[in-house]
Amino acid sequence: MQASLWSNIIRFVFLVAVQGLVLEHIRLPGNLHWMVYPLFVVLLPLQMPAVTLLLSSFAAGFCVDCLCDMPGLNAAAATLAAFVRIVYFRLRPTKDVLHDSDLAGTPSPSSMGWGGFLSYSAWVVFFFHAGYFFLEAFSFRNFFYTLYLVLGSSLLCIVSLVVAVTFFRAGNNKR
Amino acid sequence: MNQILQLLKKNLYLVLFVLLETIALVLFFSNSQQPSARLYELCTAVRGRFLSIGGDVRSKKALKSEIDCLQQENAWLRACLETSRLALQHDGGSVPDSAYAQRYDFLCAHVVHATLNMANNYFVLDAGRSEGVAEGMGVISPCGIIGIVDKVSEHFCSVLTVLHSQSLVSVSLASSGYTGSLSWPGIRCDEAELSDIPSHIQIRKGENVVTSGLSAVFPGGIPVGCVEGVLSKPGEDFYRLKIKFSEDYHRVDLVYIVKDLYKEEFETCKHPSGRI
Repeated sequence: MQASLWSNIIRFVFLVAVQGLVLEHIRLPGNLHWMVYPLFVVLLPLQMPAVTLLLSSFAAGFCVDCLCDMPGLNAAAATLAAFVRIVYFRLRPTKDVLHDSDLAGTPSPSSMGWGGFLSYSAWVVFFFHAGYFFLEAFSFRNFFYTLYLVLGSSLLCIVSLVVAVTFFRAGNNKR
Repeated sequence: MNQILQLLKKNLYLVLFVLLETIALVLFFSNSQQPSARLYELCTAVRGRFLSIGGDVRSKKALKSEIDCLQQENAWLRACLETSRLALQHDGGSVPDSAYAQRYDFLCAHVVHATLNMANNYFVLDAGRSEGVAEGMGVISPCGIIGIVDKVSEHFCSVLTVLHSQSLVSVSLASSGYTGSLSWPGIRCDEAELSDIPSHIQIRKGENVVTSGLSAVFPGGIPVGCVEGVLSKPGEDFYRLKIKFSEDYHRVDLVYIVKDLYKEEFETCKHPSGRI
């Protein structure tokens, strides 16, 4: 538990700093946004209470907001992502998705299988980006363009997630 | 009562979700209001420190093209100094040299942070209240216009750029002098839309578009872009024109903040409902 707590705190600081100080200044072709801090929401421990989950996601979003000077935008999107995560696990009883022994750990392909893990993270990441871009545009004027941004950026985020998970699993079963 | 409490406890996460979303949305929408200004100011100050380090490095790299740019800038300034002045006599006849008073003053600043891929884009400049920057001042660059100062902290300010969905700038066609308003339809950061030009006049492709000078924000005659095509259908009363910006917003570094020395006097004479 203690180790898990610390690894999550380190992940929080690392991802928020990378997002706010580095990735925000990188301009990608096609106006896509490269978001990595939703990984924090995706990788929070499975047994975490819903309330803590929402609060820590909100905190992550709020910190990124402060670094990117868009008060509320990231906080709203991250809270939505955490809510989707909670609803996802309510709708799909944990037994189906997980082996009982792995309940304590973070969501991972080894505990949920690649299919389960990817579908779970795709939902969370998609809703995060949908919330982010539609709130940011705050209109449906360029609906399909915004949708393209949502899907493109979600794909980028999921690729980062897969790379990060594979990389850190290969090293040790921590992170 | 007990049951309600039980229900509440069971769905605590739902209540918290709504609460947190509300906080976030209130923060998001009150962005331009006074209460969050203090938070914003703090954040800008911290960010500004970080960003000006990166900005310094980039400035050095771009020094060579900067010099070329500055020369052009000087040439332009010599050519149109009169647009920055205000004629004191309108009698006609011989006008002595001293009949002009300085109307616009220009402050130099650097862009320390810029967003271009949002639906509403802002720039952060390294000039603030201590340099005399105030809300509502115009910002121009050597090749075009940037926007209007939105918020000011002690050493930094943020600019609501022309690449913002709420941006509306009064511009005119350089050749005919007809005035219209320039807005940004989104998506591409090199294109804008010019509306309210009466459709009885001839439009040439490539025609220059300049600021009209009808507001106290920008002096007249500052280049904005050129006409690239007509968006409105034949038969409509007003043209909607596609404008290509003359400034490449990806590589803006050096900008000028326009200070109107007669702003207050101008505002007192303006009709209350008048917009910029």
